[in-house]
Amino acid sequence: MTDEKIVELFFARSEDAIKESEKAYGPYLQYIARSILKSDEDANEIVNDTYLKAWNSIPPLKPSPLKPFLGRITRQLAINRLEYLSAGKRGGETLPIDELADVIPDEVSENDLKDAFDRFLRKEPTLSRRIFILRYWYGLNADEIAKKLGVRGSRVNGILFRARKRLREALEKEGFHV
Amino acid sequence: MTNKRITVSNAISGIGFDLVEDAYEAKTDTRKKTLALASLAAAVFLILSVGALLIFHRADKKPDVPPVDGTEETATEYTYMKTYLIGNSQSGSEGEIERKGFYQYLQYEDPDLKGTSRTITFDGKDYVCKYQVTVPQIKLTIVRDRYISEEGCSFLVDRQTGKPTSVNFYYGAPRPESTGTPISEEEARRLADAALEKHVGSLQGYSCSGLSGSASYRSYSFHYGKLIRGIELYECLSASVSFSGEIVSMSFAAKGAFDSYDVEKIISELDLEEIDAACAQKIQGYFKQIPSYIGNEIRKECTERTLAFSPDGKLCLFSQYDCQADFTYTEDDGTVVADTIGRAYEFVTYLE
Repeated sequence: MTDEKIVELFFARSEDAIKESEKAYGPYLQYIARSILKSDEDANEIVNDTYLKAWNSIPPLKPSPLKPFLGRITRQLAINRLEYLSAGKRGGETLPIDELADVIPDEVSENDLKDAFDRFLRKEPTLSRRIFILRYWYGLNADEIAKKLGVRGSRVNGILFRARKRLREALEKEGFHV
Repeated sequence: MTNKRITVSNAISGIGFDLVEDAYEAKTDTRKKTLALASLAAAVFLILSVGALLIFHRADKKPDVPPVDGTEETATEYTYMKTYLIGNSQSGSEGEIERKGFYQYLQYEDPDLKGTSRTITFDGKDYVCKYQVTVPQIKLTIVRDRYISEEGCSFLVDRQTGKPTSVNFYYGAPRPESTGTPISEEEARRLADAALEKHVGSLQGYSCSGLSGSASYRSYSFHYGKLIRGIELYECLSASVSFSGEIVSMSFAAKGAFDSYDVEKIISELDLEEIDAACAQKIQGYFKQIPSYIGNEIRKECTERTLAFSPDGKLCLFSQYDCQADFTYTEDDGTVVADTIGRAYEFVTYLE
């Protein structure tokens, strides 16, 4: 079923909207949540919560395409849950986003940074770009990335290190000062 | 989360989704080799002669990235004498394809239960819970209702038996702090065994695979499966134990679902070669639909076989295959690129 039809079902308040969303994108959303939370059970809950949030958002929203819309909801819910679970813990695993925050200027708007990330990633070599996104968008660790891409974990860490360095340089070139 | 981390996280979230999907589609063993057009053409000419014509004819244009509609990547497919396809509109033109509705992991709000409360007794303690949502179980004819207690515990209750099949004690409640030295994995395993044995009796017949400790959750997770001749029963258990020794969650999927079956006998009589052959034929067909596939051998591996039940209550064998094949395409600048595509297919074979 096309995204347009699925959105129509949401607008018609038909529960088939959830069913068709699950058929089309369920495994992908599961992958996102599982990647961030490392737990199938919690990932299931987050995916279910994604559908609920979509149900409550459409209408009035009319997302097109639907996959990025749902994917970003899942990611945000998974991150919120991870933050909640990690809150107050000392020495626990933190969001990989912390690694990036070190090379990002303090005073920068979200939109400016989003555009800068996009420009930077489009210039990156394919492998580096994929590793960067698997790490910071999907939340995979180096071993998981290595397994997925068939490269050594140490190489993943090396590529990430150099990518962050290039990101910092790129941001400075664009006038952002870390 | 600090403001800066929120900004960074949201900014990353907003990058072009084509980039996000491309990273997701990337596969193990993807060997992307850029070859000079001239050298490849020479090699192909020498080795394949007539075949080369076919290759250049079929691979003269770079396919959209990913090479095949991304929905196929995650499609789940099933066979029962024939192969059924779910969630992939690309194959909708095949006469034998029809939707069978196996994936029923779809939450919905039951209007009869909405707003209701009930008391759930678990491990001798009563929990006053509110109904939240109904969740049918994958690969099984079980419908479960999720209830949340006032303390923030989550229960999945089998609608038929009225008993909890899953509990998460800290679903909506803060976990106790565990700032000291984490307990060992062995100690956590002993606690998990003891907690589960209280609910399922003996763990005989189950094999336990400990998942690595999760630093984020500060807990260990254990999965207990029943494996017979390489086939896993969908009847399985799981438990999570915090680094300080509290049971965080437990689940008892399909407890007793196979009690009325002679599973050993059923599995010993399965003709896996025949099932593999039927599935392989279908997989070959799917790959042939990929325009740039050059006819090389498809590398297939059955990664998982699970004995479970169809939505209409029939015993089924689910078989999952990871498949890869090589292909080439031509970049806009004339460069020929060799790459590998990977797909996973899941089939179901009715056993009764």
